Amino acid sequence: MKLLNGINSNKKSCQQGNGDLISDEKLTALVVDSDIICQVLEKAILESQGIQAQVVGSGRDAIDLLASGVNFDLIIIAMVLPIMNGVETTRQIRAMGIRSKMLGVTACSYERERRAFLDAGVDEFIEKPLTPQKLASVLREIRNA
Amino acid sequence: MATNREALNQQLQQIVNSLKEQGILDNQFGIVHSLKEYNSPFFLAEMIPMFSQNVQTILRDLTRTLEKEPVNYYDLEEYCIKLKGCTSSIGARRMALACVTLRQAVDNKNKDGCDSALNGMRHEYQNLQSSLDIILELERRIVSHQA
Repeated sequence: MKLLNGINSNKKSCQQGNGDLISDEKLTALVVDSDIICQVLEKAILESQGIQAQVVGSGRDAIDLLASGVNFDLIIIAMVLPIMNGVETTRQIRAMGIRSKMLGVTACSYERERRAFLDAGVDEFIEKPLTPQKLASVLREIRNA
Repeated sequence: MATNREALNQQLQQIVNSLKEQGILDNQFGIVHSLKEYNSPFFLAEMIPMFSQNVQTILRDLTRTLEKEPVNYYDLEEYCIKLKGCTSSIGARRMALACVTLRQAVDNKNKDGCDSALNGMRHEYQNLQSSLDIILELERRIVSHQA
């Protein structure tokens, strides 16, 4: 199925969904989400904004990918992830010295969850669904940096 | 041929507008629909069955978790958040709201409340699914005209 191209939780190479290597010109993003619908839609929304996006389905896969040396301008990370949740994954990513812009996302946000995500190291927190409008200010900051 | 496609597109838009007025869908569905411009003409036609399968899986997991004793409210919470994530991401407004009701019952560790909320969610899903079936059929016809 075409929608699942490029979505592979075990893939560590830096490729777009159509197999081409990522160029240096476009912003890059990593989506860390275990839900297939959110994976597909968030990737598609990012790509509609001209961003090359890769998807992994767990915190462990995200950490392994980042530890392999692949860099991303933006990391979008869900709170609910298998085994290691988004908060703990964020903590570990920041402990690795990764300074990418990190956007925490979740569907049901209580204040305590928002606070936990921000304290763990995400730069911003949004409630799902991801939309081009919600992304706009984040992308502006990255492009201006 | 173009006229047929335009007519189908108009019909689809009318249905989507009606579903928005009923609160079944929201503006996020329009965003999802528009992604076919950047992705592939088959985007929505592939997305809908994938969404349906995903929702059915999560609803099954919720049901099984609620049937076990003692109830694992932590797992229920995670399934609930996951379901709200995917339903809100596609624009299924009433289903996403039903998830909020379920989460409140989960937070209160109220099993009867969870049962009631889950039944409400199943009802919303049945309504949504019948609407999505119509949208899917139209979308497939639109895509086949474009082909």
